[in-house]
Amino acid sequence: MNLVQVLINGLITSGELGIIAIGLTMTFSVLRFANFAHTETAVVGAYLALVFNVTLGLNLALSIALAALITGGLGVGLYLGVFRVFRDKGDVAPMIASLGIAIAIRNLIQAIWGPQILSYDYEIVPGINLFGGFITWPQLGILVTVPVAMLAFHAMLQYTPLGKAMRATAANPELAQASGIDTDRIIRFVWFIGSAFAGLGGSLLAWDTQLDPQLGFVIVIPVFACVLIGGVGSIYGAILGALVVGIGQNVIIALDFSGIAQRLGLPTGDWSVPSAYKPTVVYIAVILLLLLRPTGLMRREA
Amino acid sequence: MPQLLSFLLFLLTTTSITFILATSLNIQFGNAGLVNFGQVVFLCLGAYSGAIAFNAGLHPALCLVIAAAVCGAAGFLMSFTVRDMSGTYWGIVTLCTAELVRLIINNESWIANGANGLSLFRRVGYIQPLVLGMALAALLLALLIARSPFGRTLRLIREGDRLPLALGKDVRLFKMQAMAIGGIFGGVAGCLYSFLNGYISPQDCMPIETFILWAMVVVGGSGSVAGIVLGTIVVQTLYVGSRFLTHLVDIPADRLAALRLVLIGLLIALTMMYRPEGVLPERRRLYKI
Repeated sequence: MNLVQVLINGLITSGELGIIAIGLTMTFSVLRFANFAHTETAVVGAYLALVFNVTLGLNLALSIALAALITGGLGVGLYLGVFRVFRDKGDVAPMIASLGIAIAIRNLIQAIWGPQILSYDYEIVPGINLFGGFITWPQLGILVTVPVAMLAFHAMLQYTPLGKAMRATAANPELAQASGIDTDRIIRFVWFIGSAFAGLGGSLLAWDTQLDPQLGFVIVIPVFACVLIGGVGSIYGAILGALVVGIGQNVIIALDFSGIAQRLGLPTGDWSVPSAYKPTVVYIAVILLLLLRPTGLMRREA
Repeated sequence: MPQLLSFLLFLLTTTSITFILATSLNIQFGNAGLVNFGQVVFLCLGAYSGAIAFNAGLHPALCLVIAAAVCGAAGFLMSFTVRDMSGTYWGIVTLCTAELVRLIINNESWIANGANGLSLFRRVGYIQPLVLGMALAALLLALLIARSPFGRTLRLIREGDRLPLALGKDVRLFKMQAMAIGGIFGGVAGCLYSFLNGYISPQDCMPIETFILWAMVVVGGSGSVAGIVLGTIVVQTLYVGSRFLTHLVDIPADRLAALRLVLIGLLIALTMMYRPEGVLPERRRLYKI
């Protein structure tokens, strides 16, 4: 198996998951509940981009940008309309509500666009060879867009008053409020940025693969895995988690375990993990992680 | 008219099986507060073990016992992952567990025919009275558990580990028992499911089945037996009944199926927002010592 190709595929998966995971880890740390509807928001962004791109005939980059902004707005709407009710009401009630919202969004998408697989309208150019691995133009687009978005977010978080207020609210909402920060406004910003990033990530994922109403469920556990590996609330942890999940998943599928099988005295044959088991790699990783290190692999940082 | 009657009987039997499953979730979440997002795993294991046993030529009663034993053991094993994990994390773990089981059955065709599903070689006699009888037994058992000291301890554990620990209750043991008993209920329901349909496939074990059960428990009133009866009837009627709308409105069947699930999703969210205790809440009693 071509190692460069495995790494390229891994990096692309990491980029797609990571940008969605940033929003999840932010809302997880501010409102302290697991939002199962987050990846569905990402899929809403992907379908909005489809509307701009295919229905209205706009340029794809512009469509994705517009879709991300609108998804951000919808995220704020979801917070104000649903999740604000649950502040100070524990973590189980909003989680169950978010499951309901996730089911409603996923099936609303299916009711509108149907169960068939769709794709964006863009000029298809043959892929290129990069250090011995094959990469398509959408994938190159992802490898550029995601780091730029993450760097912009990092700068905002570190160097603007809004970013400082966001970090303060995530670390300790009561103390932030006592220091004169309008935490409700900050939480609205958190939902806007988190959902806009989800919309961006969802569109990029759909550009790289295809649009399918079930996409939100397919990625929900991988995205949670990124957040949990990085430690809940840690934005840089979520990025690291995405690298672990994205590269790890692709490497394990590419590995050939026949050497180990031979040593254990097992019959020779194909001992690589069948690709049908790709999702199970993440499921097993999440179960083991939560059993062994429920606080995440990294120490929690504010 | 016989058509309508046989449809009503079909509705009654499927609702009965779903009721047993909802009761199983209610013992785990409603009574013990265990956030199980992988409830469908019991339907899956119960249906498959029952079907495999039946195809091996065993008596249906023995198949039910085997399915109950398999799922009781599965619930017991799942309880080891609870530890002192928060509800959120355990919810994610159970969701992953159920998906793992489904994917293994789906991909390993030597176990039970993989994605093609498993058909029963012959029909099970007296299946409808059997299902109704089992649902009635589940209802009585659920009432008994709710009133027993065991049920009281589970409710105490639901409100937090500290007080039961201070009273000398072995919290882990009670959680294990709640999972195993819930598993037995689920296994029986799963076995009846494959008996009734004569067929089981991984498509019947999708995560959405778990969330429909959650809708029933949450809307009816978690912890309340009467609530579960109501929740099962309401959600199941919505789910099955809305199929008839195809004759009335001009929406393709697949879109209507999706809209039905939109409704169920919204029902879960709205209940959690405005009436988290459900339509028929659990009766709170004051125990005077």
